[in-house]
Amino acid sequence: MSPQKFLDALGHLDDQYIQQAAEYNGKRRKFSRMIGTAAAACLVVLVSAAGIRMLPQRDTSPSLSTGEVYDQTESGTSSFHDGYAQTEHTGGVTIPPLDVYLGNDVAADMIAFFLYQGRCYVQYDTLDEDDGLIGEHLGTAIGLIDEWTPEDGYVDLAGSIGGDFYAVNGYDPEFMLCMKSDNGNLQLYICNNGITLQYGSELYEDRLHLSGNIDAVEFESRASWYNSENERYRLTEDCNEIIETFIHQLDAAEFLLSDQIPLEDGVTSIYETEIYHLYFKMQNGMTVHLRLYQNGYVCFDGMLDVAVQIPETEWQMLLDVLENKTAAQRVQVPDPDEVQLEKCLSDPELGGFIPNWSPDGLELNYAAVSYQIDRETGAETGTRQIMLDYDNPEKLNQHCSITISRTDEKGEYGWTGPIIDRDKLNAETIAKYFPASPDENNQELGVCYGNVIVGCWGRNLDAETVLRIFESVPAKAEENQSS
Amino acid sequence: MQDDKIIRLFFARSEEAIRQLDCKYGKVCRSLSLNILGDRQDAEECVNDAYLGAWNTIPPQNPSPLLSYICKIVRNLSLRCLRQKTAARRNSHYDVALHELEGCLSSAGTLDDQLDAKELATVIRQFLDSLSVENRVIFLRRYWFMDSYHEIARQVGLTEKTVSVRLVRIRQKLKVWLEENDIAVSS
Repeated sequence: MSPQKFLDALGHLDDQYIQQAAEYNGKRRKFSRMIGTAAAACLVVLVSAAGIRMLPQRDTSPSLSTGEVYDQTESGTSSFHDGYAQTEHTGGVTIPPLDVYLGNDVAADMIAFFLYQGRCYVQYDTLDEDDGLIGEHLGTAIGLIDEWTPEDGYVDLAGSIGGDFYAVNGYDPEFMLCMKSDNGNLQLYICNNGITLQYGSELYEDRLHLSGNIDAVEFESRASWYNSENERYRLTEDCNEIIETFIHQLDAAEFLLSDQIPLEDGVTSIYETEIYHLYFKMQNGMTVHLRLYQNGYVCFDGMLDVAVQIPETEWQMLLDVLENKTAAQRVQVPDPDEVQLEKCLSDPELGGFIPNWSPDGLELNYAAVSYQIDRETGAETGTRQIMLDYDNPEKLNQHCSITISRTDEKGEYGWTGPIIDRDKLNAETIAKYFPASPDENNQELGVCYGNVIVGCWGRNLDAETVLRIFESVPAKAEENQSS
Repeated sequence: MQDDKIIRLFFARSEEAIRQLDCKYGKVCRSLSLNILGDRQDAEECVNDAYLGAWNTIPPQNPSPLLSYICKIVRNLSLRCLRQKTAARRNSHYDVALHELEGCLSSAGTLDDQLDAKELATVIRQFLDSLSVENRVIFLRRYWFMDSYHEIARQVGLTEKTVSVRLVRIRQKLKVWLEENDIAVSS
C-alpha cells in the first residue's frame, strides 16, 4: 500500500476523529473537571494592553536592563493587533503580548502559559532534576478562567495550566519562573512575549546569563533532531575560542523578527532553512537551546519570534567546527524512558515493590513515579505512586499496567480496583479477576503487601501470568507484609 | 457564533454565513490547505472554493459537526489541487508527511492498492482506537491536517522533540498493525 493511498484513506475517517484532533488541547485536560460549567462561559481573555495597564508592579520591581515589558499605552503604536510592531523609542523589536483565547472552539493557538504580574509566562523546557533551582514560592496559577472573569479583562494567575510556581534561583522572575510536576520534573516558564529586545545581550546575558556559566556545548544536525536520532556531539576545549567569539557576536547582534528574515524562492518558512541545534549545557543544569539557520541566523528555542544574524566570518568558523566534527566527541543521550525507569527502581519508598518479572513479549512502554510535593518549597516529600506500562509490539491487544501505591492513597494516585491480601494469592483466586475468556473490558486486581498495594491492570493476560507477576514482587514487599 | 446559528444562516441563504464560517474556522482551514499545498495563494483559493462548496451543499446538508465538514472539503480540494500541480512543486508539508510514511508503507503499487479506501479507513480507525487520545491527536494533526511538528507541539503542549519521538513510535506501531491486518508494508 502506498503512502498516498494511506493518506487518501484517512480522508474517509469519521468526523469524530477530525473534530477531536481539531479541537484538542492537551494542557487544558487537567482542568476540565475543575472548571465544569465555567468552561461554558467560553470567555475570551486578551492578555494584552488591558492586562498590562493593571500592573503597578512594573514601576516598582527591578527591570531587566534594556528590555522592557511592552506597554501599548506607552509605545505609541497602533499596529499591535495586526502583528509585530517595531517600537520607536528603543529601536529594537517588540514581541507583542500573546492573544490568549480560553474557550476558543478551535484553540489552534493554545499553549501552556499562565499570567503573573502582567506578564505571560510560556513553557520553555522540562528538567528531570531541579538541582537547587527552585526559589521562593511566588503564587499559585489557577489554570482557568471562570464565569466571573470580566470579558477582555486581565486575570492575574489565570492561564491554561495551574499549580504552584516559584522563582528560579539565579534568574530574574520577570523572565523565568518554574513549576514542579508531580513526577519530579521541573517545568520552566519564560516570559517570551510583551517584551522589546534590541541586542542579543539583552536575552543571552541579561536574561539567560550565558557567558561564564557554560559547562559544555553540544550540537546535532537538523536531521538528527527531526528524526530523533540523537546523534549528538560535544565540542572539545579546542573550540572554546570559537564559541566565545560566537557568543560575543550573538550578544552584539541586533534582533530582527523571524518572519522578516529574507527567504529564497520556494522557501516558505525559516524552519525549512534550519541546519543545526546547539545546546549550551549550563553549570546549573539548565540548557540554553539555540537553533541555527542558513545564512547565520540564530534563534533561542524559547523565543522563536526573534532572531539575530551572526557575521559571516564568525558564522563560518562555527559551521566548520560543526560540519567537520574534528573537535567534537559523540555523546550518548540518555533514553528518557530508561531515566524514568531508573527513577522508579531506585525510589526508596515504593521502588522495592516493582515486580522483577514481566511476560515474554511485553515491552516497557512508559514508567513514571509520582511524588508528594511540598507546596511552599517544591521539594519532594514522599512517593505517591509508581506506574509501569507494558505493551506487546507483536500483539497490540495485549497490555499490562502495574501501579504501586499506599493503601491510604486516595484519588488520582490511589488503587480503585478489587484488592486481595498477599496470602490469598493463588491462580484460582486470580482467575476470578482474569478469566480465561475475557470480554472486551480490561481486567484488574490489586494485591496488598502490608500498607502498599501492587495493582495489575491488563488485557489478554491469563491468570498464570498475572500470578507470576505478583509472585515476582521482591523481598522488600515480603518484609512489609510481615511487619 | 455557535455552529447551529451558522448553519441557520446557510439555510436562510444569508452571505453572513460565509463570513461567520470564515471568522470561526477560516484560520484552521487556511492552515490545513497551506500545509498541503505550500502556497499561500493556492491555499486561499482552495479555502474559498471550500466555502463555495459549503454554500452549495448546505442545505440540503445539515452537517454536525461543522468544523470537520468544512475541513474535509478543504482537504479534498487541496489534495486535488496538489495533484494537478505535483510536477511543479515538491516542498509542501504533504510531501514531507508522505516521505515519513514511506518508512512503514510500501511505496510501490501492490495488490493492496486495490483495497477499497473505505475498507482501509476501517483498519486505520481500529488502529486509531488503539492509541491514547493524545497520540491519536498527534497522529491526525500530522497526517490529516499536515501540521508541522512545531504546530503540533504548540497545540498539544509538548516539545517538538517529544512530538517527533511520539510519531516515530506511532509509525512503528502502525506498521505492526497493518502487517497484522495483512496489508503490505515495507520490509
